[in-house]
Amino acid sequence: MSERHVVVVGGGAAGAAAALAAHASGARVTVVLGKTGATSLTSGAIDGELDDDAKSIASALDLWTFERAKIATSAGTLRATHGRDRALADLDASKGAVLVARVAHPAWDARALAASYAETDARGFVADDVALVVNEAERAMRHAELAALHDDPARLAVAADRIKQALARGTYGAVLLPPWLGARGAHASELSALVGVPCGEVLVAFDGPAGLRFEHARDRSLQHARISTLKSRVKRVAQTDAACAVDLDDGAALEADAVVLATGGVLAGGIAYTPGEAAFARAMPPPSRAPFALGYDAPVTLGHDGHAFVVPGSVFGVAPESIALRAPGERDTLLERVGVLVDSRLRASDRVFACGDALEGHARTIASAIATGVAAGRAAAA
Amino acid sequence: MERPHEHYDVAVIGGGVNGTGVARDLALRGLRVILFERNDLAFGASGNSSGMIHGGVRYLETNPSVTETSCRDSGYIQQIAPFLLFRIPFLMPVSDGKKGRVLVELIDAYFRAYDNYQPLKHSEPHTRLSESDLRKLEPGLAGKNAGGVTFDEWGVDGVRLCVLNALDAEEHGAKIHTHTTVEKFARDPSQDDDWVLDARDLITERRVRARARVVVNATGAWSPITASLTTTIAPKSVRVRPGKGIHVVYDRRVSNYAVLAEAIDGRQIFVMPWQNVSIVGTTDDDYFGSLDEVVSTSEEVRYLVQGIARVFPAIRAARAIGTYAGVRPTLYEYGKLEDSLSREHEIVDHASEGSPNAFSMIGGKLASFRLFAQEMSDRIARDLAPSSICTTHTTKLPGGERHVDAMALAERFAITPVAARRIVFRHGARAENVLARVAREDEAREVVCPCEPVLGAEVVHAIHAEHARTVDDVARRTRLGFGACGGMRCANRCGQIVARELDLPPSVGRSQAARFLVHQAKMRAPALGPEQARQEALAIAAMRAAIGDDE
Repeated sequence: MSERHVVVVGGGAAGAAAALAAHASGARVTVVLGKTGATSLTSGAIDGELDDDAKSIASALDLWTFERAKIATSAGTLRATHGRDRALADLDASKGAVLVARVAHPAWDARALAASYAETDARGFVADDVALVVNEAERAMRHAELAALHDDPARLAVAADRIKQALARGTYGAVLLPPWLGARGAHASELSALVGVPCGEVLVAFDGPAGLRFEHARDRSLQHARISTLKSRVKRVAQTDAACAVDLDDGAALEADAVVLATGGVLAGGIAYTPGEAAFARAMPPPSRAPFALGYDAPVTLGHDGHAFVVPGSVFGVAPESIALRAPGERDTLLERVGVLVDSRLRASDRVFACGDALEGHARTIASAIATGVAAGRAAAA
Repeated sequence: MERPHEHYDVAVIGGGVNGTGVARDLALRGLRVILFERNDLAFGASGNSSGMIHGGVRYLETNPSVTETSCRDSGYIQQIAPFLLFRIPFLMPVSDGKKGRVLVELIDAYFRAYDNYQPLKHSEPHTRLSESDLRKLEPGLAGKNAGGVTFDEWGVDGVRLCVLNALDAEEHGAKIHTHTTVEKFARDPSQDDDWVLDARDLITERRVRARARVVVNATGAWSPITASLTTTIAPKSVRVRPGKGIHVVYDRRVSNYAVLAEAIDGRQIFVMPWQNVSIVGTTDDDYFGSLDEVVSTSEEVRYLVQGIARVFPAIRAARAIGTYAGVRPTLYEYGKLEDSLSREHEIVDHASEGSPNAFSMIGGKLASFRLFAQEMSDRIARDLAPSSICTTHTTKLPGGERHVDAMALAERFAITPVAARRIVFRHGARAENVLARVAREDEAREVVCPCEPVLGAEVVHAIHAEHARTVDDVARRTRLGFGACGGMRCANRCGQIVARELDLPPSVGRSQAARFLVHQAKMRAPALGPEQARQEALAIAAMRAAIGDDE
């Protein structure tokens, strides 16, 4: 009996988890890597519980830990998570005062952060100079570029020396640093070992290196598992009784026994907001249609709150306020709730599964992406 | 906690262009002035207008003297704040209908008459355009046109105009209280019938009591509410008809010229390049909601975009990044269409109701604010400073003292020319005061809002020199957070700076930033388009990353 071929469309957290899970279930897997999505912009925080199967699949990425932690954010808050990118500092794992590194970089104000953390945590946060930025050119760099510099072990050793100099001026149990601890991998534990005190990053919301670290970890783990990847965008997914066909932008066509859609939500562009008035410019009355569409053809239905879109009662389409703003009592905006409708096994149609942000009714988090990715990958391989 | 009475000649209620304008005028005449503003300077109509000092071309037919005074005053404003004005060339296409040719003739003649007044405001005369001229100038125009005309108007930042008036008043001895609401005012018979005003600072809860000979109600659409704070003025004597107007903001200048179009009901609307964005405006609808929280709706946005798309179809593909809304204090008339209401102004003397030394400034517009302030001040000075004369048209506004070269400043302070240019536009010669902070502290060089870009120095300057007390106030003065990212990249940083500079707990700065972001999201939502939807999803994700799951 030949093994099943599963095509996973999308290379974010959901796609990677689906690919690794399908592979672990014995399927032959091909991943279509598109462009930057939500995971590429991740902050590195894992919000949400995962079961043991999902944790063990995700551990192949060698990127995250799945223990409760208290992380510091660049917004000045301290908050709990269910897991984190390993570079992020866990303040629950240390005791005593915390050194917040003051560096000569415009996107980093250690004094403001230290004062802000101190408002809710009594252990003491001290901003003190750590010369991690060594020249004017680095002052102009973005977080991710500075993180990439610290992939170099020599540079990391320099950073360790500078941190040690600052540590000598006080008594500290932990060090909080800007999000610069590596772009190819998280070097927090190497640095901590060099320094002798736990060191870690502060979380930044969307312009930090956590997304880059994910992309590198994904590429490494897919390669390690000998899962083949294609860099392209999907144009069309079609299915017959016996198989699925996946047409790509570059003209390539794939055949598969099952397809997992991990193409993301509105943020990634997998789902496009298509306001009615665009059609209004050409036709009156315009054709009635839903305010969202999948970014490609696939035999699936988009909807929200468990049902497909109904024909809007306005020739101009649905009012944007009801899409971008939360209605009273709702936790999420429609932008976050819209997605592919699936059954309890994440099946969108006979041979097509969906996971991650592409799904209707699931939180737009890394944890949810991993959990649904693993489940969809397993189901597709079965 | 009550502080001892402070005594003033005039108490002005309202920090819009009328209030700050009259405060400046009176202060320049040597009178002691105190100004109370319930929200922030330019919070209402003044900061949410189309941002034009126009010449009143629409009055040319019915009342040419209005056109003349408008043009003359536009010239004065240029003299006192040359750095703050920018040229907006308009294009008026005439569609090639049955009467297209005739209409072009008529419009041409009309603007020939307007040309007589244009030199008063240093504007270029109009040009008559053929169909091919039109296409050359604005390739995005739709359909077939019989021709058209250009005409020249001036744009202004209404917020800066109010702030500079307030600053100049202050430099001449006036006292400015923002975020301070007057709760009641009454005449005190035991003290020469002076007015006593009781106000409360809405941020610190501190109470302020002031005594003044004269009180001026310059609260725009809030006027009847203000009148109700005393027992001797009948609110109906200061009736206004609040008319809501919204504008849609695009992420860049989408056209070369400001282009006029007709909305579906025949009203004139426009798309125009304004500072570094384009704006589409405006609506005019009776408004019955809260004046402190005016939001746009998608119906208003669709009304505007539909009208503009008929002459400039590319507007549908352009990326709208937000809206803003204000409420005009139009003079009250019942039973008239909104558009045919007068934008004129009127001074109400409440002496006839038994409230001498109380006046209300009703109506008015950005373009004629100085004139209105002069009329009001002349009336007040008749009793308080009879020998004084108005000098607001000859005295420079702060920053207008001399011309400064933005490129030279950029070089001197080692900042990008774009940042230097926009600081000079906003501060004139005072740009050097702003940038002095860069020389003193490296942190001031930081780009806080990359969309504009706004430097740290400008944020700190707004806080210490321009009465900004919240993130929202800083944004109003600097345009921080008004770009495509909607404040996602700068609001929190701005909150940190506000907290640091004003010695507030960091959490206060953070919650100010959050409030600003939520408000911006509300104003963006009605104009949501495909690209902005992705940005919106990212903004929500970023917010969740910073605050966690348990919000």
